[in-house]
Amino acid sequence: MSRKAHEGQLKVYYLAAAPASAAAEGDDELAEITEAELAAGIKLPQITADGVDTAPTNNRASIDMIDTGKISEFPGTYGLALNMKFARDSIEADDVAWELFSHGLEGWFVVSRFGEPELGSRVEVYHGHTFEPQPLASAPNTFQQYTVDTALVAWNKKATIVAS
Amino acid sequence: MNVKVYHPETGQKADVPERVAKRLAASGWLQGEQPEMQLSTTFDQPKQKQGVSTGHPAGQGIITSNKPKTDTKKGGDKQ
Repeated sequence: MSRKAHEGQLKVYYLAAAPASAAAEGDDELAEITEAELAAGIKLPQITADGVDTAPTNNRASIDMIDTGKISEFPGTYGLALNMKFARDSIEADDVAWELFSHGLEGWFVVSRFGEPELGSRVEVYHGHTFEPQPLASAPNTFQQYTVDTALVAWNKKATIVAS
Repeated sequence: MNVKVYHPETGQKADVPERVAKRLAASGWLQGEQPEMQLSTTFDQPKQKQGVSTGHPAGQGIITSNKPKTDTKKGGDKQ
């Protein structure tokens, strides 16, 4: 069976600059990340088990028809957000995402859901700007965590890792 | 304060806060502008002397005469 649970599979990378495929349009936009571009990124292993949430907004144009009573709908404006959650670390060098992200920082996020991305891996790419890291409310019996939300410009959920 | 960084292998460039540049250094990013020499090596081909057969296949650049070229505007070594 090739089905996978999330544990040990989800990997997230931050790229500071646009990959070459960002210049393409339509379905080809952000469709490819080269191995070298990925290697130039920063891995974010502090992501928590529930730390990757791609929250969609799907609005609809709808019209209620009185003759049939049917509500007819068509896809309208839509958007996506990449909301991440990380574990804090008291050692600065290991507190990567906390130190890295700030309000308005541009980035390209590569999300792999089937282990460490390698040549031919299918990945998701999200291009956007981050908000300020936000600590979660204090709570007993809980490790310290924080969230980093993003406002996205573009994304491609069917991207591939290609040779450099 | 933002600093300019580039990656010599991928050719990527970015303008990022200093603390981000520090983290990127571990992934091979360098601070500053990418030197032009690294952008292209097209003009670094070794020059050949006139009158010397290069051993190329027929019709592909074999020089058969030692006579100097009269049109020096298009390149070639002067004798």
